[in-house]
Amino acid sequence: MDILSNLSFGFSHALTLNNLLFCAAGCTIGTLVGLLPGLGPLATISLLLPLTYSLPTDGALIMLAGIYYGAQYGDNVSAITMRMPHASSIIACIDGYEMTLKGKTGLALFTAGISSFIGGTIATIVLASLAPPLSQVALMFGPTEYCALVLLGFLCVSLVTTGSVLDGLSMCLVGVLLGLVGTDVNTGTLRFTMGLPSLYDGIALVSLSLGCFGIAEITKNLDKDQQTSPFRGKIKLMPSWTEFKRIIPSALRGSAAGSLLGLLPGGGPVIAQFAAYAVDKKFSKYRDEIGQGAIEGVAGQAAADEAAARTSFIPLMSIGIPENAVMALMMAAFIINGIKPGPTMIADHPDLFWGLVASMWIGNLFLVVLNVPLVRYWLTVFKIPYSALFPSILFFCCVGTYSVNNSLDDIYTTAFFGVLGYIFFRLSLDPAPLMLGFILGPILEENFRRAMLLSHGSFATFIEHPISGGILGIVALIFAWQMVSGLLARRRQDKGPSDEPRGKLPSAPTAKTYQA
Amino acid sequence: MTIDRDLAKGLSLLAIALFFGLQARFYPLGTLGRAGPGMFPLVISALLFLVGFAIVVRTRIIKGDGLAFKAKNIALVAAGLLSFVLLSEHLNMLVGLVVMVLMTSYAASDFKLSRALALGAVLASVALAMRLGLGVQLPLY
Repeated sequence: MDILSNLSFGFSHALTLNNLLFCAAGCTIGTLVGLLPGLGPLATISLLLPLTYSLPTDGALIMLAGIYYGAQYGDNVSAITMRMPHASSIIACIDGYEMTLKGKTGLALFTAGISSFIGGTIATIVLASLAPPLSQVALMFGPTEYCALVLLGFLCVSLVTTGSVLDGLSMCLVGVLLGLVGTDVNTGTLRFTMGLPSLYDGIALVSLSLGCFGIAEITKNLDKDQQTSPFRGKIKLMPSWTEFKRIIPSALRGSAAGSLLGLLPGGGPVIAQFAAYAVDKKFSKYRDEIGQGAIEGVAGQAAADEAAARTSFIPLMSIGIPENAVMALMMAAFIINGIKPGPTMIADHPDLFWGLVASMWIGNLFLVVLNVPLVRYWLTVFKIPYSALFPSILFFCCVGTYSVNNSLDDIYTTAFFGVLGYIFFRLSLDPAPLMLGFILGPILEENFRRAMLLSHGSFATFIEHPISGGILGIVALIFAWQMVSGLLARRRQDKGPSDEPRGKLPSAPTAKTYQA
Repeated sequence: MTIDRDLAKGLSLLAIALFFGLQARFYPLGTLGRAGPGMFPLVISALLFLVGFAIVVRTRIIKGDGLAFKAKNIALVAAGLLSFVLLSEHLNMLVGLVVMVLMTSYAASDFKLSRALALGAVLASVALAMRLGLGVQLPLY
């Protein structure tokens, strides 16, 4: 049993006192910050990224992963209690919030917690058994394959996040261009720096993500009327046995859907939740109750959310291509901490890889035994008025940006991208593909140049290699299908796109019709 | 008067494409087999230009929604951040922090001067604690 010995090796690493502490700290801080309105996983990770700089590498990675799923759980909590979603917890707003309206906040929170645990456990096993063989396959990939994979990722993310391929692709391309700012690694030429020394090393990742996801989101919330929570602070966490029995099948279905969808390019928690919800609406014994505060409506999506969050690490760690914006950010964080994710990561740093896998499961356990019981105390965060909360968040954005390079100039960059991110939001352009483009842009350029160098300038090389040719074929098919179906749909009904690209509150009727 | 949001979107994308594309011309292009630093940006800008153009053309067929733009809040937040940097640079970060809190708080619908001042004091002590307790290098004073 290779996996078992590998996993026990991982646990021996993850169970050291330091790593346990980093894991617990990551989960806890991640949950707390994720609770704050206006901060989704992307903003939370970028806000807390500077915290990990001074840690040892394995501790930093473990803490980052903890921050990620902590943020995801925190997001779920704010969706259930406040109906304040980010992209990662749209579905939790439907049944979770309905349960809050019925006074069953505690049950919903417990369901979300325990389902996340089930989803996370299953996905950890999938991760441990799939990532090593996949990395063996990825070792055969050359520059053409990497170019093709990046393009496939762009297309799928555009498709999933925005619904409009053109909008999503344009954001990816803008991201790629932003990723080119700075010194060209091949020739040393300064590109697009506009003479600003602070841009010589490229646009700071933290500035870009805090601007687009932190500051822009905060301002977006300010534009809305203040929301108040119907949550009144009474929580009964433990479910009865009959309630508990309803959680399990739905959570298992969600775990399966989430594990699978987390693997695909462009996949990840968001699409997994929708899928799990749809599956539950079709197959659950209580499907008629879903949409009106059913346990299944919370359990399935929470399990899928968590499972997809885990399995989306597989493409990142075995191929080196992140499949969505959060993973792109994780990749950048890995690189900052001195680890390049890719096919060689498992072989070169088995302690890091297996330690991280093991710590993911431990982090899950922490969420259940620590965060779920403690959540009632943390909900006091919501008693703080937003007018006091958001200047504090801005302050921490500033300190976070500053502390990366001890440079005040980086805060200008943050402010600039805050304004730009807000303008993008108003233009209904989603910044998530931009993030992916920003991280993948340099990889795309490097591999593109290398492929062209090897082929002496012939584009045919992309098609002559069977794997890259196949992937590009898929890309072309998806693109053509999208263009045609988009045109047909628009001919049929002259329907304007919705007002908000992300974080849109799905009203109950649309949730009911989602099934189709 | 309402501005077509999709038109604004397409035009902004065209502007970004031109901004990068026109600069890319000044970097050595190289050949396809040995690409210079200008090649890849030029290709990407051209693609972005095409996408932006397609979005603009689309608005000729289908009318987009109106553009709703609230300048006040983002302006206050941006101004707050800028004054934070400028004051930190020329005076010190404690002043910058309090000024930022005061300016941005004004964007909230339930602005109260007393609360903003109190918040400024709290955050200032947090910053001091970070400097003295955790050793974070902040140019506070």
